[in-house]
Amino acid sequence: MMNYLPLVFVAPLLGFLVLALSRSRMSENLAAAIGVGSVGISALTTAAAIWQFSSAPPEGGFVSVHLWTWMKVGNFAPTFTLHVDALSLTMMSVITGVGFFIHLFASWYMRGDDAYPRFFSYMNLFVASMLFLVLGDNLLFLYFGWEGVGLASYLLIGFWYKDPANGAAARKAFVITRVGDTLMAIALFILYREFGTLNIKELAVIAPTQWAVGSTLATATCLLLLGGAVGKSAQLPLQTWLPDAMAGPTPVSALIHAATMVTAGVYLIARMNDLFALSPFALHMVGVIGAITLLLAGFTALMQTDIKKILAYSTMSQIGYMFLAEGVGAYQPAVFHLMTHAFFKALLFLSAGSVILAMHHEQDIFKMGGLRKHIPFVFACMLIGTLALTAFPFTSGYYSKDEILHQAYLTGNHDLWLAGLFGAFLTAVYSFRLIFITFYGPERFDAKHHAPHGAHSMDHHIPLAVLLVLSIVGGFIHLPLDAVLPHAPIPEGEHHGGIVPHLPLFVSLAGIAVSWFLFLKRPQIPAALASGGLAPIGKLWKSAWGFDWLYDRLFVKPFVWAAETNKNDVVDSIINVVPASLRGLNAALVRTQTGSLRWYAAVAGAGTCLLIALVAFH
Amino acid sequence: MTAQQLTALLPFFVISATIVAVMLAISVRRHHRLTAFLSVVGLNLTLLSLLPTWLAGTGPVQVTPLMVVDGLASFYMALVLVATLGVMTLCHAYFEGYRSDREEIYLLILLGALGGLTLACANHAATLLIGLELLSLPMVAGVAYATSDRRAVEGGAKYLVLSAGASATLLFGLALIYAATGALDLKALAAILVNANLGQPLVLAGAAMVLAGLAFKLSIVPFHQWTPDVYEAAPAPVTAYLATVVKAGVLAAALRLFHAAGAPPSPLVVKALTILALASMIVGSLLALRQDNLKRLLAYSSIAHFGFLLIVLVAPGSRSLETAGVYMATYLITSLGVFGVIALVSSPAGERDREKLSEYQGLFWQRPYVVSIFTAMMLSLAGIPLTAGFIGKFAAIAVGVESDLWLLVSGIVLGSAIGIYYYLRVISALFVPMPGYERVSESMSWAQSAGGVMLLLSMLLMLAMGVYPEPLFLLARP
Amino acid sequence: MTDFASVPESPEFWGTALYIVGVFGLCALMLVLSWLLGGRSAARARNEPFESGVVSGSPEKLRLSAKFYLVAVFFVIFDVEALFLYAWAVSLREAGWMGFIEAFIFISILGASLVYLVRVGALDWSPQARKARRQREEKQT
Repeated sequence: MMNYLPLVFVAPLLGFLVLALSRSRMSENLAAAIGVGSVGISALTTAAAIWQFSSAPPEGGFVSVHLWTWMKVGNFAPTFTLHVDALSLTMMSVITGVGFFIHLFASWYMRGDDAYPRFFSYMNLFVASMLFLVLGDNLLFLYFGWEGVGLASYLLIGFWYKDPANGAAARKAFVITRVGDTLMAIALFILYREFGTLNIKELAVIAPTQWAVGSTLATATCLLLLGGAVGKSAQLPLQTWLPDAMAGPTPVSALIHAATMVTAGVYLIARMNDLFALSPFALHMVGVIGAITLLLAGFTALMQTDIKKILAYSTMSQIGYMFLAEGVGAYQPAVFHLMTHAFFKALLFLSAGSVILAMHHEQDIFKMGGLRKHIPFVFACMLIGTLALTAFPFTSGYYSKDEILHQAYLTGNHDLWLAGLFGAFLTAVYSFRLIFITFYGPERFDAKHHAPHGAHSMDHHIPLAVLLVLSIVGGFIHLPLDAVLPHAPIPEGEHHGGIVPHLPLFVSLAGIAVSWFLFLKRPQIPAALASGGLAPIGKLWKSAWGFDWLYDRLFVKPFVWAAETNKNDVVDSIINVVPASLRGLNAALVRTQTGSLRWYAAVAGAGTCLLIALVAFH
Repeated sequence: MTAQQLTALLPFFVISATIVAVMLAISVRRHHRLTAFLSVVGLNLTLLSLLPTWLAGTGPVQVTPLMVVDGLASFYMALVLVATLGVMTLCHAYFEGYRSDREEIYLLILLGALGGLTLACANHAATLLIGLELLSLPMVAGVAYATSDRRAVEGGAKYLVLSAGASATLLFGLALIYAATGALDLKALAAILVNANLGQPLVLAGAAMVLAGLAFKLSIVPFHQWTPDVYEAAPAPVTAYLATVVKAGVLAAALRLFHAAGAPPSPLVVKALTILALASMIVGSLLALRQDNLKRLLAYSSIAHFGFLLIVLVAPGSRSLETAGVYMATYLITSLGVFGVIALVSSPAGERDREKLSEYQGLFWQRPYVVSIFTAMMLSLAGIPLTAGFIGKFAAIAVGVESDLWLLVSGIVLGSAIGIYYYLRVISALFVPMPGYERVSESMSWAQSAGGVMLLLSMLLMLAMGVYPEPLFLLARP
Repeated sequence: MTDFASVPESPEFWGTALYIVGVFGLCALMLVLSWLLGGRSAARARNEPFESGVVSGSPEKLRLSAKFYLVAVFFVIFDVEALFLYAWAVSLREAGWMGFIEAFIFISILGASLVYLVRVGALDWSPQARKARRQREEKQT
């Protein structure tokens, strides 16, 4: 069953190889055909898998596709096995479905770039790695994909490498996520040491039998896994790389830094839910981190002027919601929100990309304004995306976010619920700030020289239109996750009551109203506040609570200092004894290679004698 | 002679007919492409002729007391033939621009391949010697093929004298054992090696001399010194041949001598083997450490690699026999790739092979495809996971661990650690451009692209072995 | 079975040992005696191999053509190959048709190699003939 499944990642992998080997000699059309087509094949494969899965639900709710055993030595027999269940199918459809439309959009967006094939080769590599990540049945396989997406993310952030700032951003993303990856690797080592397997299914069975709930080791392992998730998903305290990652081309931000890769942490925690069940403390930490991050990111987004950075902070805060949901045990709403978020955030990013191109690569929203008349279609997309983001009724975000807050309330986590509620208010304020400043109000650009120009090609319109529709109807999709993920632990007797389920809606509407008042009706108020008494706070928010500054003082400066103090390499001078002695041995041995036949024959003869002596005498 | 035996000997008939045909073709008309074509077709037919016996699966077919065609023989015959095919392809690209007679090299290589086949099937001391000589003697001429080059002639002379010396030592060793026991059959000899004890001085001295002779051909320390000189002197395809076909053939014979009895050789022989293996691993790796000549570096690396491989002679059982096959196959495909690249980037130069490391500085920026393959092959030699080399090394270490040969296992680890240094040194040289370099892409001519296809195939095969080694293990299972 | 430990006890051992010692002793005795008893005189001519007759010596620059060795080697090789045919000839009946076929193949290969040798000019004795062949071949290609 499902023997065709490997095609889902083989196609983009082949696309990557072909494009990478073409060395940019390929024509743009051919490169686009390969790059987009390979992901299209993946999407079709995924569709076939979903159809087969839903028409004939397999026993136990999952299918294992055993590809091969890598090698077999004693008990060590790592296998390549794909694990397909509702969760991985959801992830697959997001990766390949949304991914396909983003690829299509990118084929329009990147036109004219020198390194067009290179761009698509990286994108294909990313898709293949991400599919590895979600399809692996063991953590080793998952980790392989995990590193693969990290690499692709690094390559794509620094895609325009000629500007050193982009390179620095790529490096920052790589290094900071590496901190999380290291924690996660340690978690894998612990798991393998304790249970002798990294197979996720087996772990889920063995771990509860060997670890007591709340035991130290379980908590430590879960916290380490959380560290990995936090790094990849840009949550506190490893969140600082995501805004810088906006240095990459906008389709990259849409695909990697909004829809798929940054949600890998959410996926990891959902996948390991059996383990997190053993550590209530770690699970609660997931929720707390999510809540704090969503608030911090919300405040920060209020003060940003770069259109992509606003979206980046909003992504951070939305992933915070997903973490919050997982923290209260509401895994299903978390994954649901992951999917709807992928739809509307991809839509928002692609629209933002379209705006940026229309404005001749201008990203500052205060140099835009009144754009709704110039690019009405993009405005519609942006508006729908924003409505979904603020959880406006009947958009996809409404169903998923509401569900999260509702379950947070029902499970008794009222503090988290309050944070989420306030976050919803912030979300409405900052996202409509973006809309009002960009699309309404006076035109703040030089209309003569920089008149906005809309796009008129199908590869621009189709992805936006499809994502637009998905952002609206995405909320009606029912994910059959019951077989994979547990329900939130809602105590008996709790039920929908009174005004609580409707509060998020009111809060959001209030946020929109406040935003309208502050940024459209009376724009002088926020300006006065920012320059007046609230200036220090505004500055703090604008700099994302000064985390970059803090980390610079805490880690970078001491490290540079240590490196400078240790210029003479005290540690290495001890270790250098090894290579030096090897070099000495090498020099001595090289003398024996004289090139003289007589000497060689003599050595061989002496060797024979020695051998005889060795064998024949004891 | 039964039909079954004739079928088993089919590869020998086909390749002998090919040799005669190529010889006659040369005497009718000298034509480079035609000669190459004939040889390649002949080799492919030979490869096909392995199939009937293999498919029949009737178990070992004894053909006279001299030869036996069993699983081991079939596997190593296939290895020899595949490697020879690869070398042929390289020869065609390499010798296209050669000014003097180009056709005889095919004759020499075919003759050597016949020797390799003979060794793989040898079941008797006489066949062993005939095979060994047939395998190495043509290569004396091969090494010195560019007779106008003083270095080549010097290398050929060295190889001739030392190789003859080694064969004589081997023969003397066999004679001593024969004198003591009257055995010439390899199975009987293997049993004698298992039971050798201190009361049999002649047998022990003979065993040591046989070991010395084989160790020379496998370039094991202290019989290794010819290797770098000869590798350097020979044209790149011949070097590839020496590193692959010769080693595969001799390894097959060594396995029959030291492994056929199913029990480990006598502790006395094991002691000698262990010391030889350790010395090879360490000395080979150390010598390669700061080598600036790529061919010499690869020669040292092959010394180290065969040190690693000796572990299978020490450990008994079918498991290590399988490992030997896997290791040999991975090493063979990787070496073909490495020397193939050297041959391909060398051929237009004409005068001397491109072998100095400085000549490879920043080559990636001029020939990215070829250098990518080269890099992959280097990584495989270093034993990085997901390459074929890793599988081979891993299997060897596994055999060592299972048989509790901790000394040898630590030797492998140490040797590999040093190895990573010098392989990475080469790789870094490939990618660091020279100051003031130009990004020019050389076009690939037709003759080169045949070699290029071979390279690409070997790289794909190398990666396939690394990612999905199961079929290889199945094939190598005796 | 050879056993070094028991060798000194075997009766032949002492006889052989005595014989070897005797041979070396006799040689040494003869040399020493002649050295002791013989008269000595030194002169330049005395160190020459032949004290009288033609003055020995050879032109150092004499170059023997490699052709000599090549042809000699061919002769030896074909001679040795012919040896195998003797073995076949005396057992012609016993070898039967199988032997005949094998011998036939053997002779054909020999013939083919002879053709090859002739065609590549290995048997061309004079440099002129080789040069002419070389030119002909170059014209051909």
